[in-house]
Amino acid sequence: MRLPLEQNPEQGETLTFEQAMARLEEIVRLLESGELPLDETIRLYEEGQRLRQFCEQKLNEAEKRIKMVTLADNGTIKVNEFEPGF
Amino acid sequence: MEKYVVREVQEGMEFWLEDFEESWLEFTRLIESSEGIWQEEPIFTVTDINNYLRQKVHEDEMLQRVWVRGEISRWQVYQQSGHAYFTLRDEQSQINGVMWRERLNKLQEMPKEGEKVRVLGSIRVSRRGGEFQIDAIAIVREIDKGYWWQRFEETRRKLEAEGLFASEKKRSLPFFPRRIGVITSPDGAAIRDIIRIARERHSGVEIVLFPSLVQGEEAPLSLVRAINLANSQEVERLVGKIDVLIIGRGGGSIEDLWAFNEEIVVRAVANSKIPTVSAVGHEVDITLTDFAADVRAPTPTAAAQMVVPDKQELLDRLKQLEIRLRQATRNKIGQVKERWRRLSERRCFIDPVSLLADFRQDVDRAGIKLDSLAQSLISEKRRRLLELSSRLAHCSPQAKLAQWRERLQRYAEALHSSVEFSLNRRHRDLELLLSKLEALSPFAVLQRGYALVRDPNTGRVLTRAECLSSGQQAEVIFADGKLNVTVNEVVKDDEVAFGAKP
Repeated sequence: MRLPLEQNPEQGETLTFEQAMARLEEIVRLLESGELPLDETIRLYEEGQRLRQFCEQKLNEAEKRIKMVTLADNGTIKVNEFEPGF
Repeated sequence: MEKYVVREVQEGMEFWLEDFEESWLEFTRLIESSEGIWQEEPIFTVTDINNYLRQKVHEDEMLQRVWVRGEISRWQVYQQSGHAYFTLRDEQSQINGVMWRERLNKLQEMPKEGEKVRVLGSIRVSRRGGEFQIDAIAIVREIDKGYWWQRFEETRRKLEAEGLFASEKKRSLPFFPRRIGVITSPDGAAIRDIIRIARERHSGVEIVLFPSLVQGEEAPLSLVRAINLANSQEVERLVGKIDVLIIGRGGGSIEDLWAFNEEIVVRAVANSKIPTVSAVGHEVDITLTDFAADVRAPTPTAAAQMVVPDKQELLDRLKQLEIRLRQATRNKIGQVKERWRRLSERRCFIDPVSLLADFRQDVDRAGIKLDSLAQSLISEKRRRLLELSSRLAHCSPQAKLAQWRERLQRYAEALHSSVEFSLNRRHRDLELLLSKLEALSPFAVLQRGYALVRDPNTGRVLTRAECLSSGQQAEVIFADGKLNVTVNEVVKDDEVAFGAKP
């Protein structure tokens, strides 16, 4: 769930799905206002397309296994796979 | 008979320990098989056996402090001693009990026959009857629904007053959580429902289960530990950041769900750094964690539906955004093209030379203005130069030098005359001094007609008559020579001398 820096210079190193989605919505809103200069419009359009790809990719990520985290009496934390009984 | 009672009790008690069971079985086997081997086997007295049992039971630590739940089927307080004897029973079994006077006095309410109670006490074997008894320390009435409701309200009011349920504390749930923590029993329906929903929605979300007890006395602490564990940095390091936490369980009685009303659990939910969803029981079940959590879900299934993002829905939303993105950009480009078209139709582009005419005129006019300005500037500068050079001539060093030379000459002359004057004056002073000196010389006096008397031997000038005596030699010195004389007589008389004056 990380977006490399070069893909999103405005928002720092990493980006969550939510941030990407919010930024995409913001970009669409900005563009729909029609008040930006052309070069800015093109730049935002490209950024928007990158964000859309990023979000799609996140949504298509493989199904995750279920983990179970337990705390042993001696204070150590164990992470196991959890197999539900059904 | 005794044996029967013992067996009855044994069957009725849930917390029987293995070692006691074993010794009991051994004992019954011994009794049953005793006829055939009567002579070889050791024989116990009834007292021995009862004592043995007493000892076994009393050695057992757990039996020294147990809670036993049942119904009071007999309750009798002996007038003379003040001790109470009772029988506790359930559907299948019963046990006798005793409560000594001192403890009985501490009871707030006397138990009544037919009441459901919990008895705290130790299990003992009576010496005389060889009977199992519960030696009661405390007897509390089994609590009813009204009691639960009261406790619920008390805790709710207390925590509400502290602001634990304040609506401004509520956080919204993350819109696209990557990792969902679930605190519930690993064997319950809740986790199964949540996993089912997550799989239906295919959104690649990760589920992390923090197993916990969800009912019984140990459940509250277990839940608190699980909540703290889910919030811990170690877990964040090991499995990643948990974005949202579902805390709950499937349906059950009010007692079963009670752990979710316990103050420590409610506080832990309220203090969770991770946003929480409380999902306890069915739709109708309300617990205090529902108030403390950021969001209440009616069931665990509903919690999962709230939390797990729906992949298809999000994909649709993305599609919509993309369409709008394209459309807005296309519009913008169209707009720019249109403006360009309109601009290109303007006069400046069609007949640029006409636009220049004005500029050209302006340039010419400005040129003329500039010329005259330059002329006046030059003459002004010239005038100023002349003025400055005449001022400069006044400042020539020649004039200054002549001035200085003249002054030097004057100073030199003044110096010379002052030195000459000074020398002349010194010369005159000297001559005067010399003539004075001359006038003071004895020889000058001699020339004026005086004579000088001297002792011829010492050369001393004899200025008084008494310095001489008769017959003494003396020298009389005149200006032009001297007389060697001998004194005839000394006349010591001043008057004579003066009388001799003319």
